[in-house]
Amino acid sequence: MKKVLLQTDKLSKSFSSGGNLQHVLKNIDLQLYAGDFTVIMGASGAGKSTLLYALSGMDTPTLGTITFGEKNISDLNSDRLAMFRREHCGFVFQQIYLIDGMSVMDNVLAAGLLVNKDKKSLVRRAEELFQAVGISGETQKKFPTQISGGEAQRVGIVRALINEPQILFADEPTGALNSKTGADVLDTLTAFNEQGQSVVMVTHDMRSARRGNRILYLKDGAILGECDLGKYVHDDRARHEKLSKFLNEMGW
Amino acid sequence: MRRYVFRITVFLILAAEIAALIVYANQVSDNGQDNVLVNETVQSVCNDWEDMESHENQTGLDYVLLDHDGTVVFRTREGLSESIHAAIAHRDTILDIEIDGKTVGKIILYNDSLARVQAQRKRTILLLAAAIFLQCGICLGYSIYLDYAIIRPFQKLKGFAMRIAGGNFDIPLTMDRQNLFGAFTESFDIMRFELKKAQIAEAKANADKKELVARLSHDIKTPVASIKAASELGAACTDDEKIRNNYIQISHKADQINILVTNLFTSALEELHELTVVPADMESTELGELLENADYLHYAALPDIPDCLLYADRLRLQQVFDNIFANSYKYANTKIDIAVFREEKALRVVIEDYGGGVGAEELPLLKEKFKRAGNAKEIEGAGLGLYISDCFMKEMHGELGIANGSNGLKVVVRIALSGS
Amino acid sequence: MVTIFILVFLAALMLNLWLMLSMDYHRNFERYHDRLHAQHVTLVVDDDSEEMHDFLTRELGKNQQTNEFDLGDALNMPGSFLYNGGEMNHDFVISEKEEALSRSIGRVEITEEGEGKSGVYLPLLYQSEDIRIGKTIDITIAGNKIPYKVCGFFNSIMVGSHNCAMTEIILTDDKYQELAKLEYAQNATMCCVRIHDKMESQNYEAWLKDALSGRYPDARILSNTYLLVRQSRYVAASICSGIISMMAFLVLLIALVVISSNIMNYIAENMKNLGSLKAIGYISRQLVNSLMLQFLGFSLLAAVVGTGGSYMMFPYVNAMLASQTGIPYQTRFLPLPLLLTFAVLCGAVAVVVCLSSRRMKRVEPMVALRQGIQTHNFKRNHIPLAKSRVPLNAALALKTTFSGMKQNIIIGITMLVLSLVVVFSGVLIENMLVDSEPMVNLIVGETSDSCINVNLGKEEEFCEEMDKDARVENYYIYHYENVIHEGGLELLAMMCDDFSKTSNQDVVFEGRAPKFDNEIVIAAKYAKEQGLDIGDEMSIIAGGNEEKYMISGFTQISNQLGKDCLLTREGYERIGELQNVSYYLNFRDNVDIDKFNEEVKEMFGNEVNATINARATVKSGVSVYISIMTIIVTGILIMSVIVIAFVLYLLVRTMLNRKKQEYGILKAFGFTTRQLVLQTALSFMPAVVLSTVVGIAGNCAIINPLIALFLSGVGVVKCSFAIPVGLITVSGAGLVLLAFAIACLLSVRIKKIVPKELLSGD
Repeated sequence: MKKVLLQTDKLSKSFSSGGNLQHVLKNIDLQLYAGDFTVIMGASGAGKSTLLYALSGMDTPTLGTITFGEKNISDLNSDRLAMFRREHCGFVFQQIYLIDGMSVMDNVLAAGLLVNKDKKSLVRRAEELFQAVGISGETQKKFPTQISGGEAQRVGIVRALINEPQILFADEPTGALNSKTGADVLDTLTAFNEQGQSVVMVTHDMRSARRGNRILYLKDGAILGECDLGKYVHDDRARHEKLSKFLNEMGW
Repeated sequence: MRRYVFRITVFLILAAEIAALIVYANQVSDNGQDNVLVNETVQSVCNDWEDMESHENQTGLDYVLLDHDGTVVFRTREGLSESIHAAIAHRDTILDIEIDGKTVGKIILYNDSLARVQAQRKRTILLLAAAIFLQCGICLGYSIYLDYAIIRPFQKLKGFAMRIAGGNFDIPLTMDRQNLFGAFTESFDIMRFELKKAQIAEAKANADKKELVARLSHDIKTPVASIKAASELGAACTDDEKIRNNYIQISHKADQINILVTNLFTSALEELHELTVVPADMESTELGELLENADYLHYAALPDIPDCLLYADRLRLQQVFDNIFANSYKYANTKIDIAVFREEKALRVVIEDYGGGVGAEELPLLKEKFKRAGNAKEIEGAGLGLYISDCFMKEMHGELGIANGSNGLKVVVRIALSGS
Repeated sequence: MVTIFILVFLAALMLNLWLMLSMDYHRNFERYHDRLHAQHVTLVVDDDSEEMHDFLTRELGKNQQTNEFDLGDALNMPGSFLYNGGEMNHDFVISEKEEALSRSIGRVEITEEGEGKSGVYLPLLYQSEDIRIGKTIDITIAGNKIPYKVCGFFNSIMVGSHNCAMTEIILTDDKYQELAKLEYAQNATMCCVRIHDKMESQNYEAWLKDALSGRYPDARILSNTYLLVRQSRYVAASICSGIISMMAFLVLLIALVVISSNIMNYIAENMKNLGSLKAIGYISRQLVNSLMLQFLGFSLLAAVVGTGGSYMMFPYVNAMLASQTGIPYQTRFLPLPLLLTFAVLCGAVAVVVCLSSRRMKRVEPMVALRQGIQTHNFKRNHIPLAKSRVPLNAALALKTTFSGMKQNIIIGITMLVLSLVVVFSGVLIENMLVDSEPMVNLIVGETSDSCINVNLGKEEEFCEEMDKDARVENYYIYHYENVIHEGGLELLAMMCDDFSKTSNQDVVFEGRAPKFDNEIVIAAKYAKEQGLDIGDEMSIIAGGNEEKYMISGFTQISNQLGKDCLLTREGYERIGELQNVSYYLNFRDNVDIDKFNEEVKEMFGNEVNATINARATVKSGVSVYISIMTIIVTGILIMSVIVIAFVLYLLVRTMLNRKKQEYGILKAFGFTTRQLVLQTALSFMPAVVLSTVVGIAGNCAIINPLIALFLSGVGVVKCSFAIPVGLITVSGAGLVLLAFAIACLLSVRIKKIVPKELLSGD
C-alpha cells in the first residue's frame, strides 16, 4: 500500500463571472500517493488547471477539504498558504515564468532562501540540481532572456525542486516548447520521479501523458476515470496502447 | 550611453580649458591698492606718529615711513623703496602723513603687483596642465575601452559570420553583455525564435480550419431543407414524368444528406426537449436556505450540511421541499426533524415528523398520480404533490423515498452529487 | 486621472493666486493713493509757528517739481501702545478728526466707526482682539499713559502704519485740545506735498529736508516718501507671493511629471494597439493629437476649477496680508492673471505631452505587434544571492532598486526638493519661530534689551552709572541720524562708538565696520544703485557741513529699506553736532527691563528723552511676520507630505503594473504579501535615503544664499542663519520614515495579486 500524500474530500471550486456562478470542480475525491507520477488529462475547460492549483495550495477550494499529509490546507489564509507552499510544493509553469531581472542562479536561490537559511548548503544543492538537469555553470550566471526555452524550463524545474517539495506540480510544462526540448524536459521530470520525487502534471498532450504511471481523466470538473499504466518504460508499445484505449474510452 | 558620457566629458573639459584661456587672456590683473587697507595703515600711523618706537604694522601691507627730512622712521622689512625717487621708479604709492592739517612726513606703500601677477600666472599654468593631463587620460582610457568593447569582439564575430554563411547554425553565438554587439547577436537569436513560432502558429491554424469545417456541416442543413422543399414543389408542379423523377431523385438525395447531418447533431437536439427540469451544479450550502424557505413555520431545526456540490434544479428542489413541508403541516402539524447525510454519490436529506405516519399499505401509493392517504379525507388537495416531486427528483438523477419512521412519516430526498 | 486633476487644480489655484497678488495687489496702493489724493512726500516738523509756515510755503513754491501742497497742524511725539501682545513703539503724528478728514491732500477715510463721540481713531492695521471699537487703550506719549476710548478705525495711505516711518493717530476735537494743553507732545506742522513725478519723491524729500535743516538745524523732522511707503507696506505680500509662486511651480512640475509618466505608461501598455493602429495607417501625429486633446481638455477643466478656487481662497490670503499692509483690498475679477494661468498651464501640458509622446513615433508597427517594447538588456548581476550577505528581502529589494534607474532619479529629484523644503522650514523655525532674533538682526541690524536716549550734557554721568550698575552686561552708543549723500539720497546713518561691541557682528557682510572717522559703511542695495564700491569715497552732508568718507564695507540692514549707512561717532561729529545720543543696553538674565527704564528716568529726569523696552517693541513688530511664517511653514510641510505621497503613488503604481507577473511568481513560490510589500517599500529606500542625505547636506550649504536671494527685495544680500542640525536631521529621518510608510501603504495592493493567474487557462 502506497503512502497517501494528499487527499481531497468532495473538493469543489466555483467562480462567479458576470453574475453567473460557474462550477469548475465538482465533488472531487482524490488521493495522491508518494512516488507517483500522476498525470491529469482532460479536454480544454475540464478544470485541469483549477484542480492543480487547488491541490497545490495556490487557491482555496469553495467546498470540501484538502488534506496534505496531516494538515488541512483548505481554509488557510493567503499568507499561510504561501508559507505552506514554500515548504511543500514545487511548481513548473507552462510559461516558465523565470524572473527576468534575476540571473538563473538567483531565480533558484530566491525561492530556496525562503526555506533554507544555510546559504552554503543551499548553493550546493542548487548546483547539484543544475548538474542533474544539464545546466552549465556558465548558464547559471546568465539572465532568463539569454537562454533557450528548454533551458529555461529545466531551470524552472530546478527552482521547483530546490526546497525538496513533497510534490512537484507541473502545469503543461512542455506547452511552450518544441517537441525536442519538450522531450528533454519530460526526461528530466521522469528522472526525478524515478529517484522518488512525486510529480503531478497537467497536460493535454499524449506524449507527455505517457510518462505518468497514473492517469486521471477529468471531464466537466469531475474525475471521469483513471488508468494505472505502471512504471514508465521507454517505447513500450503495450503501455502506449493501454493509454490510447483508456483515452478513447474517456472520449478523448 | 558610455559614448555620450565620454564625448560630453571631453567636450566639457575642452570648453573649460578654452574658457580658462579666454579669461586669462582678457584678465585685467588687479593691480590697484586696497583703499580701505591703505586708509587703515595711514590712520594707524597717524595715531602712533608721536611714538614710532611702539608702532606695529596693523595691516600686512609693506611700507616705509619718512619724516619731512626724508629719513626713514619706520620700515616693515628690508628691501623696500626707501626714498621718494626709488618709490617713483618702482611705482609705489606715496602719501602724506597729516596731523592736525600739517604734513609731518610721507608713507611709501610698496608696490607688490609684480609678485602677484607671477603667482597668478603660475596658478593658471598648473591648472591648464592638470586639465590637459586629465583629458589625455580620458582619451587613453576610452581608446582602451574601444579596443576591448568593439575591435576585439568584432574580430571574434568575423569567424561566426563565416560559419553562418557556410550554413552551420549549430554553434551558438556567445553573447557578451559587455560589448556593443550583444544586442546584435541577441537579435539573431530572436529571429530564429520568431521563425519557429510562426511554424507553430501555422499548425494551429490548420487544426482550427478542420474544426471550422465540422461546424459548417451544421449550417448545411438549412440549404438542404430548401433544396428538398423546392424539389418537392417542382415534382408536384411538373407533368413531365422524366423531370418529376429527377425532382424526386433530388429530394431523396436531400433527405439522405439531411439524415447524415442530423445524425451528427441528434444529441444536441435531444437536450432541447428537456425544458422542465434543468439540473445544474449547486453548492450544498444553499440547501439550508431552501429548507428554511420551505419550513416557514420553523418547526424544524436546521441540521449541519456537509460540503459538497449537488446536481439539482434549484427551483424544482425548492418545490419538492415546499411540498414535503406543506404536507407535514397539513397532516401532522408537529415538530419536524431534519437530518442530512453525505453518501458516495448522493446527499440524503431525511425529513420526519411526529404525526404517526400512514398505513403501511398506503405507502407505495402515495407517489401515484391522484392518490391520497386515508387521513386526507377532510383536507383539500389533488394528490399530485408527491407525484410531481418524485418526477422532479428523478429528472435530477435523485430519488424521493417515503416510509414510516419511528414517530411519523419519513421522507428521504436523495440529491445526486455533481460529477457522479 | 484624478491625480492629474488634483495637481493641475492646485497648480492653477496657486498660479492664479500668485499672479493676482503680484499683478494687482500692489496696484491697490496706487488706487487708494489716487482716491485719497494722497501726498508723495510727507514732512512733519516740530514747529507750528507762522514763520515756519511762511518758510515752507516759500521754499515749496521755488521748486519746479511741486504740484500742490497742504500745511496742517498736528502734535508729534514718539509713543507706544500695546498691540499683539507686544509694545508698538513709533513716532506718532496726532491730528484732530475734522482736520484729518478734510485735508486737501492726504486725507484719511474712516473705515469703521462706533457710537463714541470722544476718543481715538486708529489706523485700520491695528484692529485686533484687544483693540476694538468701544474698548479703551492706553497710549503712552512721552512717558505718560493716557487712556482713550477707541471710536473707530481709519485708512491713511501714507501714514497709516508702523512701516511708514510715522503713524498717524486721530483724536476727536475735545481729546485733541486736552492733549495739546498737557504739552506732552510737540506742536508740529504737517506738510503734505504732491509732486509732478512721483518717482522723484526721494530726491525731493532729500532736497526739502536739507533746505529745512539748513535753516532750522535743531528742528526734529519726520518724513517719508511715496516710494518708501509703497515698498514697505508690501514686504509681506511680496514674500508671500514669492512662496506661493514657488509652490505653484513645484506642483506644476509634479503634475507634468505625472502626466508624462501617464503617457509613457499608456504607450508601454498599449504598444500593441498603437502598433496595430499604425499598421492600418494612422500616422503618429494623429495618435499624439488624440492624446493632446485629451490632456489639454482635462487640464483646462481643472484649471478653470482651480482658478475658481483661487478666487475663493483670495479673501483668506488677503485677510492674512492685510495685517501687514493695513490697506483694505476688494477682491475683483482679474482677466489677465486668469488668461496667463491658462496659458502657462496649457502650454506646459502641451509641451510635456509632445515630449513624452515622442516615443510613439518610434513605435514600429511590426515590433509593437510582436512583443511590445524591445528589450535588449544585458543586465549586470548587482547582488548575486549566492555571495551577498544581505538578508533575502533586502537583497531582492536592492535588485529592484538597481533595475529601475529612472525611478531612482525621480525619487532623487523629489527628495532633493523636499529636503530643501525641510531645511528651509527648519531654518525658519529655528531663526524665526523659536528665536526671532536672527531674523530681526537680519532686517534691523541690531537688537538689545533697552534703548535709552540721553542729552549730551549728561552723557558722562550716565556712562558712570551704567558702569556701576551690576545689571548691565554691556552698553554702547547706537544712535540714528539722518544724513544726505551728496548727489544722492537721504540716508539713515547709524553710529556706534565701537562696532566690535555690538551683538550682531554680521551687520557688515562685506569689508569691515568703520573704525576711523573717515570711514563709512553703506547698504549694499544703495551702493549698487549708485555704482559705489568698497574703497570709493563719497560725500556726506549733515547740518550744512560736507565731508568725504571712504567706503570700508557693505551692510544689509534695512531700517530705511536699504537707504542706510554706518558711521563711527567721531565720523559723524566731523560734520554734524549731536544734541542727544541713544545707548543700547544689554542686561544680565532676569532683569526687569521696564523697571530699569523707570529707574533711569527717575535718576536723570528730563535729561533722558526716551526709554524704550526694545525687546517688547521687537516682539510686537515681529509677531505679524511670525504668524505669516507659521502659516507658510505649515503649508510647506503639508505640501511636502502631499508631494511625497503623490510621487510614491505614481511610482508604486507603475511598479506594480510592471512587476505584476513577477509578484505572482514570487507568491507562487511562497513569498507572503507582507514580504513583497516590504521588498517594494525597501526598494525605494536607497534612493530616498541617499538623496535625502545629499539633499539635506547640500541644502544646508546653500540655504543661506538662497534665503538671501529670496529676501533681496528688502536689501538683504547675505544671510548667516544658524542651521538647526538636530532638528533638520530629525525631520530628514522623519521624511525617510514617512516615505517608507507611504510606500508600504501604497503597495498593500500587492495583496490583490494572486499567483493562480499564472497558470495556463483551461
